[in-house]
Amino acid sequence: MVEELNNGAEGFRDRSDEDLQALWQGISAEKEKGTEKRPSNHRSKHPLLQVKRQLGFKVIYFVLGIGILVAMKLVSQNPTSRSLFDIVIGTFIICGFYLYVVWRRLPGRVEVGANLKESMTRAYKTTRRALRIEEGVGLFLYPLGAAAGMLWGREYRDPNFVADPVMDWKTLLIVIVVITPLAHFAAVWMNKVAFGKYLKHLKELIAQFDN
Amino acid sequence: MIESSEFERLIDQNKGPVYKVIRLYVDLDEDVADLYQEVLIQAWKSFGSFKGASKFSTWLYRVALNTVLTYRCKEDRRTETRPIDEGTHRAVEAENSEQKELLWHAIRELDELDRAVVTLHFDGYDYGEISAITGLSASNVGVRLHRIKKRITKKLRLWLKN
Repeated sequence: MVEELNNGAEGFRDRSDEDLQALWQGISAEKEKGTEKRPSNHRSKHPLLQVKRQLGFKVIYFVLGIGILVAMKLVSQNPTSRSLFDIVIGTFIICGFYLYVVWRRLPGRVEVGANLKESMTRAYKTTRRALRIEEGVGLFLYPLGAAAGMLWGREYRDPNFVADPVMDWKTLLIVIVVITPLAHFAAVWMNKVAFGKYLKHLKELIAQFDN
Repeated sequence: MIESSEFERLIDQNKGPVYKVIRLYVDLDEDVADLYQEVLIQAWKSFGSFKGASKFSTWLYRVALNTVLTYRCKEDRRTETRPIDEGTHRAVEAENSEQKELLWHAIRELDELDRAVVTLHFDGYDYGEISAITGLSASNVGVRLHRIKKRITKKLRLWLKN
């Protein structure tokens, strides 16, 4: 068979599966050889682990954020800002808990038992959904956070501060209008930096299953 | 408790096919080393779930394939699906294993999933097993393999004629 295959172009005409298989099996010595190069470091850089790590950081940020918000609320005497802090803290707790559940569910390693399509699709969808929800919740939180922060700042500088019903709310409206889209785009950009490449790669791989 | 020496011994016995899979997806030695390290990390993490239902080599092959397909190299230096050029062709011709090298190049020009499917097939996995590993339906595996083999054969004939 090998002699027949070595007859050049004609050798491949109507070659059976077995011939190609035999050729493949013959490709071994060179390709199965190891490399002298040392890996750059021993920490896993696998995307699944990186996504889990990034989500873990997000959960930590949420916990830290809740701590700071609770401290700010305890200092504040203004009933409006206290109510706003309550809403923001509540939302932080719910969102943080959701991210924690997603983080727990994400596999920290390659799933050998699951098939490729299933594990890739699950990792892609879970991560994307978590990021979308986080960004959506952010859109609701930024105006409230901006309002709470502004009132808290005014109160911090002047403990006897009383909000001007017209001027302060005008300022607040401007702050909200400026901060909300800025914070939203910043969040989307940061998620893109942290997860974008990985999600794009997964999406391309998943698309290959449908071709 | 899993003995790390036992794990190392099994890995050492089966590292050849792992390198072969890795080299199908990355070019640079640095990336090969990184990916091999990554496969070892993933294998070690999953080793506890290895119940011996299949051979260790089969299990490790799956770990390697799953890891390599979903891994991203630094600056995305995965294999470029460039056509084989004249220079390479001449170099390849100079070798005795011309057809093996051409087959290797032809497989590397396939997209990432097709590379996995055809190498699984060449390594003796049946349609059902490939379906279970990849998530493609068995009939899709059959159709895909037929298409891939046609493409490979066509490419090989063309290169050899040139």
